[in-house]
Amino acid sequence: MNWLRAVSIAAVVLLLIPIAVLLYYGLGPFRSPAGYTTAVFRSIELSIVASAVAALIDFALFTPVAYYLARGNDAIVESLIDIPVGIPHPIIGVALLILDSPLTPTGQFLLFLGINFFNTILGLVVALVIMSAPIYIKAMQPFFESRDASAEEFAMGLGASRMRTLVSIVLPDSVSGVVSASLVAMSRALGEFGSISIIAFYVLQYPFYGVSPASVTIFQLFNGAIPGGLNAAVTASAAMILVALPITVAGHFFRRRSR
Amino acid sequence: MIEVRVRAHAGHFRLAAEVNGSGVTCVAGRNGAGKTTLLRAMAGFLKIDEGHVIVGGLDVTRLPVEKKGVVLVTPSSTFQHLDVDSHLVWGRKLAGKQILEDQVSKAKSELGIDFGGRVGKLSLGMRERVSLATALLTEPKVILVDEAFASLHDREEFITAYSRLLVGARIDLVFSSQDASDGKLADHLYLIDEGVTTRNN
Repeated sequence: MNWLRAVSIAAVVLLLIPIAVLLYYGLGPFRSPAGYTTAVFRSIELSIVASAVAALIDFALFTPVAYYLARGNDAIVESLIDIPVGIPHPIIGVALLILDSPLTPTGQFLLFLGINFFNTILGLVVALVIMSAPIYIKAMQPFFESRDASAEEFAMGLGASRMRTLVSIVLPDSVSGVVSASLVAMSRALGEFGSISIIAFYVLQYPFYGVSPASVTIFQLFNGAIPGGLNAAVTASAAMILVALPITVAGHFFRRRSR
Repeated sequence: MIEVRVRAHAGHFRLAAEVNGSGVTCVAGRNGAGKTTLLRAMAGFLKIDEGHVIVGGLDVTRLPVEKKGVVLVTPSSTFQHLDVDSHLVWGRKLAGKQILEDQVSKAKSELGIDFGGRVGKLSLGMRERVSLATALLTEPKVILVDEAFASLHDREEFITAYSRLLVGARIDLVFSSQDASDGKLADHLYLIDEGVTTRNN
């Protein structure tokens, strides 16, 4: 008997029981048409689009950070990244609100530039980037660390800067790692609730005018926004899980390939 | 012309080495003697506690790696995703130097590169040829070769041909070896043991 294996499987099953139960009831006994209305699907769509954009921004802005941390030795930057992770998520929403409030000079300046976070797609994406970027970095950094540095050192000897080495040598060789980390970041963004329920309870822009992110919609249904809301919330949650699951699985697939 | 006098440490290992000379220099010692540590210190990948690395009269000790004009070649110094021809001129292109077809084809024929395709799919010996030729065609001031001659079936002939090409391009070569008799392929021989070099004439 392999006890380590038995304990591991049992522990993971414990982790998954609530989700399995939710899927069962959402798609079975509690299934409610109010859980898969156009409005619900629109909000899942908004969540997917905003999370994908956030993951793209994570890639563009934070791949260099992950590489810098993997090859440098910068304990300060490394610990700064953990700050958003350690803060209760609604606080990030409040922080964005204050940053961009007409009552503060920073907000007055941003609003003057036409940058508005409150109930906008922009605000939603910014919050999702803040919540998912640390996850992206934490996924990318070990990937870079596990690479043999010889090719990079060779490139630098031939005259390439660190940034140039990252773009021309490391990235073409890291596609599966980047895709995996981006998908992990995207799943993280899809699951975000706390910060976006404050900064972007719903968004007021084309093509998502009046649409709430999926997690917020589910919360509203649960709170009884419509009669029979609990069943609708359970069904909508099950739908959300079915959408999010392939993204997680794909991330896992690419991570295995990148090893 | 290179003038190296360095003290450095990697963990508990202490390096106190001196290498001077122009042309081809061989650093010979057994496993763990400090050959790689010395070459990494010279290339700028190991922090130097004390001393200097002077290349062609210019003190490059504090310059960033990409500005030293010193290339370290190891058996893993390849860009897997490139094909052979774009690999060979990668450094030249980067520096904005003109790519001379004659020069490239001469290097290819002298160094036995009669194959093409994606570098990641080549055998180890083939990859070593490609990375050594890439370093040569980039025309740095110094090429440091750590074990990268090891998998060549015509090792001695290759080192001789490579040295001839480097002399023509006025590039100094320092290569490591387990075998002091490789000194016959070099203008200067240094022996290294427990991180300390001694000159052998």
